[in-house]
Amino acid sequence: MDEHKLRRAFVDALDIEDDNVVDSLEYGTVKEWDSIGHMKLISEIELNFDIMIDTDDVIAMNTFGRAKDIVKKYSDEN
Amino acid sequence: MDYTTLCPQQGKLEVVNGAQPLSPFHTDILAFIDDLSQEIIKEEEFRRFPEIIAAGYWLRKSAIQRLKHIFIDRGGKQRVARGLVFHLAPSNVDTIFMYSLFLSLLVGNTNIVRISFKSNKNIQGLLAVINRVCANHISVSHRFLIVNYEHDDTINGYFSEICAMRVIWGGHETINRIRSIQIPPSAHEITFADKFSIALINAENYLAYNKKEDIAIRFFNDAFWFDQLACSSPRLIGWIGTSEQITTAKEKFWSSISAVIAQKEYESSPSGNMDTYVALCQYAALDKNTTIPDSHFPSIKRITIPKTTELSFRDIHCGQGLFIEMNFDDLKDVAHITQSKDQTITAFGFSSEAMKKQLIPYLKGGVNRIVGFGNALTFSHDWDGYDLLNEFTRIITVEDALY
Amino acid sequence: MIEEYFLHRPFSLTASEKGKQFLDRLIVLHRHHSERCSEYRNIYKAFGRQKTLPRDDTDFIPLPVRLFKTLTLKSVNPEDVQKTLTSSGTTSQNVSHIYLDKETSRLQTKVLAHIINDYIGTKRLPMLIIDTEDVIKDRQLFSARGGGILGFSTFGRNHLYLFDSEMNIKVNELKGFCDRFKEQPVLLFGFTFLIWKYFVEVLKANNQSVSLPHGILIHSGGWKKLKDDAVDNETFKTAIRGTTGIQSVYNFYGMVEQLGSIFMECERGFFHTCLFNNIVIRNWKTLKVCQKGEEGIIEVQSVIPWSYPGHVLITEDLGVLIGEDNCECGRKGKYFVVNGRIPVAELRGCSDTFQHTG
Repeated sequence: MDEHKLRRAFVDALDIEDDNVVDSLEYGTVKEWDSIGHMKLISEIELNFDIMIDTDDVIAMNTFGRAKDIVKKYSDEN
Repeated sequence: MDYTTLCPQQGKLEVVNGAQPLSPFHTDILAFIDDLSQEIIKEEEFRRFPEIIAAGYWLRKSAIQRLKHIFIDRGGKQRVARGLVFHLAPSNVDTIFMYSLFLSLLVGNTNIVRISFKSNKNIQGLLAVINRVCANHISVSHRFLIVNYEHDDTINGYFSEICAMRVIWGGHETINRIRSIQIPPSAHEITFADKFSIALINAENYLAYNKKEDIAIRFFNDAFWFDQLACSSPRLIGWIGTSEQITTAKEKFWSSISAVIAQKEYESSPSGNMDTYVALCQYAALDKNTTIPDSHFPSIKRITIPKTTELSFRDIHCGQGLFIEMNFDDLKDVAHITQSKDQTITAFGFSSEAMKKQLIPYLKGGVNRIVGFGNALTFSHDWDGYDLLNEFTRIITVEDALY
Repeated sequence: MIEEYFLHRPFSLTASEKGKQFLDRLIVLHRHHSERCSEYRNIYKAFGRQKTLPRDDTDFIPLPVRLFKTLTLKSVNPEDVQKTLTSSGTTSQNVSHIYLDKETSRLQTKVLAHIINDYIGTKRLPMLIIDTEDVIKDRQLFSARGGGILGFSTFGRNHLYLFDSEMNIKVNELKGFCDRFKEQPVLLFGFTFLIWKYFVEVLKANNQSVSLPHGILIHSGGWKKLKDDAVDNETFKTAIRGTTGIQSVYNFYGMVEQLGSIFMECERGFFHTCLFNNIVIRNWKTLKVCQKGEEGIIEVQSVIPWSYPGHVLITEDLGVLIGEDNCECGRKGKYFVVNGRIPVAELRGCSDTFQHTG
């Protein structure tokens, strides 16, 4: 799994600084990552990694750290 | 005929009317919808309009793929498009036309969509994006026409005459009036009437839950994105639990909602505020057992109505920030007050098993969606009891042995 | 005790002189309606207010005027209802129903006379009614328009209805009226929009004028249609002066739900409360009382309504309280301006796509 690519997806979709993308970055703790930001983010990740994330994982993906694990899981399946 | 073509810019009725049906989930349509979804999600301007981002998200590639699997699982291989579909979009939820149109387009139909609003900022922006995407998908742009006109029997009559299917979203008056205009005998019709929706909260589980702010945000989205005017936005809040649990839960719940309203800087309009005050007084006047727990009106109005009421409370309600509260002993108790107008139950603190066993068997009518908090407005291909992928197509049966 | 009011001139009492007596009367009405009108009682009960009396004139729960369209609100026995007033609403096809008994009707007439006489004197004046006689012909169903005309007719004599059934000016009759009464005070009455559309504009278009230099014009009704044509009170007055020579033009603010206790305009252009009525301006969101100078929704209060609970109503109009007891015109009481109806937000609902076309 290309962590750099995932990081870019966070930066682009949420429109935040690269420095802010750390494992502990959490949904709802920055104003950019609200429910709207989350939709943008999921869409961006799916496009960049060409994957289809299940609803459960869409909900579970609430930190950058979790996102890495989840995206890795899907990338391995491909 | 005096209508304005909003989309595609150079759209022509003859062209759309002459286009042939495509097979469901045709690659040209998929490519168009994929581009459209990306353009919507990336559009900076739409950050202010979450309902539009939600529509773009709903149309994203993976979601459409999932839809295709569902279509096939439900026997889609035997199904083909119907032809020209005439959609009359609702005025209360101005993004609904997207779902109605693009689902129908996706399964191969050609489409005429009448929308009743054109000056809303969000819709203007959205139409501009659709027009932009159309420029790169000429063949698909020949398959739909979004128009605007004041209701006019001649125009409605013409579109009805040439359509293979008519989809009416609207109040009872609209539906009755449109229904008096004939469609061809073999044409299909579905209607989406005014509906009423309910939120149910298990007080005990709510009190035990530690992310109350999250619940409040989700409820806020459900209720206020369309000023509580969407059919699926909760208007009645049903509480289940002992009276002590309910009292405490209510207090915590409404104070967290007030906090979110303040944080989001949500304000109802002055006229909306008057509408809700009138409704509040009307409820109070007609049932002597109602109580208004907070008369300071901090952005929302609440009224507690006994579950035994004979008020036709669904018809008096006019959205815009008014919540009826009722206390129930259990889910079966809730089922007893349901009726055909009810659509969505947004629930917190229950298992789906409980819903299936204790609520659904006892329903008096209505209720065709039970979803979690935050999902009230999430559109689904199954809507108002219709399987839309199914409705928008027809079935062709072919026997195996043809000799 | 209501009879004591008529001992005073309508605009003669200051807040402190009027206050106690006015509140007492509202409380009498409150008790009566609580007892006799279950809907009224239920509303106070729902707000948890069934046990305590209102503390002051801002402490009543104002009933929305629209409630008279959807509910049957009355506080007397059905056999005591003498007539039913109706008004068509502007916001819906529904119609208000106001149930009047003998006493309420009597008070309406008496209060209106007391207020109007303060403006035109007690002598009945030759009267030009700027409307068609057709509107009062059906006595069964009193419309607000017909009711207003009949109410004001008592202040006149030698009545002339200015328009025929097609709303055309009856030119010869008008000329006769003006020739006969041009040397003396005459009363003119009508609805603002109709006066403008079928009288002033017609005269202007035909380059005509009439001469009624001693005329007193009293008019009422919404400004909405006129505002669309950019006609405000000042433009209206100037045009009236130009086409008719009338110097005294008084607008009044009032509603069918409180017939009789109208708010008359003064020479400074402000509406005034009097002994029989009061206003409270409320914040549109919280319904809390607004400060002087702050725009809000107008609550109107009247000492008249006995047969229906219409003594404290919240309107759908916006207004501003300018001051109290110190208007330059010399009248006591609160004075205020009306800024039109609460603006309707671009309608997203209630979901009927036909609503726009009506």
